[in-house]
Amino acid sequence: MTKIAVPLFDERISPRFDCAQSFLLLVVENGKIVDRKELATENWTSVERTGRLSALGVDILICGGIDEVAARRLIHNGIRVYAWVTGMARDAVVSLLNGDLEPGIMVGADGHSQGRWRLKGKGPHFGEDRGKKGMGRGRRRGRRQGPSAL
Amino acid sequence: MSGKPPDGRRDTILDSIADGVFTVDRDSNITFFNRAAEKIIGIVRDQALGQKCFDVFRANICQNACALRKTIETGRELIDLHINILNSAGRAVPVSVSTSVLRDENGDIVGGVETFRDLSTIETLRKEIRRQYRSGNIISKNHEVRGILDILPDVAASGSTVLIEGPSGSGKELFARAIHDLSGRKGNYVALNCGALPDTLLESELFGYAKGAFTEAKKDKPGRFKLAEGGTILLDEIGDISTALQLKLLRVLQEKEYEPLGAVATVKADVRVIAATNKILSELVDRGSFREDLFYRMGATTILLPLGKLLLNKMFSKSAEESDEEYGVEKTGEDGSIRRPSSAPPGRKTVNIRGY
Repeated sequence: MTKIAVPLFDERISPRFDCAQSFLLLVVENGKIVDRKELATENWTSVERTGRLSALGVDILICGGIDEVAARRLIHNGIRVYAWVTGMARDAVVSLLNGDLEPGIMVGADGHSQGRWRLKGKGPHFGEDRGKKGMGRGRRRGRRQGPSAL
Repeated sequence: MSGKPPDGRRDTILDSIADGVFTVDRDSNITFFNRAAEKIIGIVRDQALGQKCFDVFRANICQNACALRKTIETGRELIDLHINILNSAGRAVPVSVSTSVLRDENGDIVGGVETFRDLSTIETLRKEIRRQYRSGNIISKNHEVRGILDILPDVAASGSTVLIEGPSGSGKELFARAIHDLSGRKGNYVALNCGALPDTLLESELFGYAKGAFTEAKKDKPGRFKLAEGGTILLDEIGDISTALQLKLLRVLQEKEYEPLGAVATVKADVRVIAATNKILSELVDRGSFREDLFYRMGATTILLPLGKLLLNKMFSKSAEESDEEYGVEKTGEDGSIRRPSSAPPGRKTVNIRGY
């Protein structure tokens, strides 16, 4: 079982982890989504967000922009972070389940990559230090099956 | 000749300015992105073009209060809105943004333009200035007070007796408190207004009394010196105490010991003494109403506070945070008329340290 969180901006990935008003929470088993809910996060601080995601047992976070401190905190808590991803939340999850998701990509329809952001800087929020706990979880699992419901 | 420059010239002009500029169509897709925008945000132009502006700009208002969206919807421009954006290195960058609509030949709104200025340097300077203006809960723009604030940590660390002279309301107690806070002394900070009590009562307040010292003394009572053991005692209005009590205080300062009223045993005192007065003690010494030896003993470090007639309440009656919010320490120029205490001798130094 893998728990995935995605900060939302309507149906898109929120451009900022700390400003998203809600998070999509998914539970995936054997490559299929078995549970889906939304977590309201309006007015939550960045610390509250990272704390709550850890408390909920989230394994993977797919997000857009995220500050380095929050990213380090999540990784320290064993959460694998795919940051600087843009596009529809649904497509990003498909990409993840297909094993294609990488930090900093522009996700297109059905999870196909439309390119990669050429960003300045480096660090954990660019996927260079993904932590030990949770390493590899969600990757290459259920490849090409796609989510059953989003 | 047309009033509009050709696109190439327009782009060159926009690339030459230091402010970031981008334009969007009505669907928030970026249609223009200048060089300064690349630099501030950290995303190259060819990647930004065609993307949703919120995926590139990543401002804290993108999701809930997009300025550009509001401008396109209302036709009203917004000017100098202070927000922050998340740059590509994952750091929040403070920026000032202004927005305006773009119209076609018919005057219909076809999109919007956003200009933004990186305020990082200004914010860094603002923080540095704020840090310089502040020590603990004291905040001031007065250069004399700032001079005192600069040296306050050293005064606090020295452990010496301090004499603070300044007119009523100049913040003597706040400075005494700050010296205690900065000193790292573990004991309590205790303040006593010596001018408010008659001599006999003041003595028992300062040194305490033993059971049976007088009719009402049913049990031992610790004095303020005892309460301040290991800490700091502020003796406010020190110029008002009697010569008899001055002698007892001198003994405390010299021998580090005292005797409570009616007690036979001497009590050791590890108390830092800060004395404060709105009088000029040297004048009292000249008149013979204050002991010269006590004056020199107490005034090992003398701080002479000025009275800022405009900043008085701002400086001392509010916390630093309240003052910041209400007045903004970055504002300058209002306090040009700071004056010394009216009774202060001309040319007297604000901080006079005779020795630690």
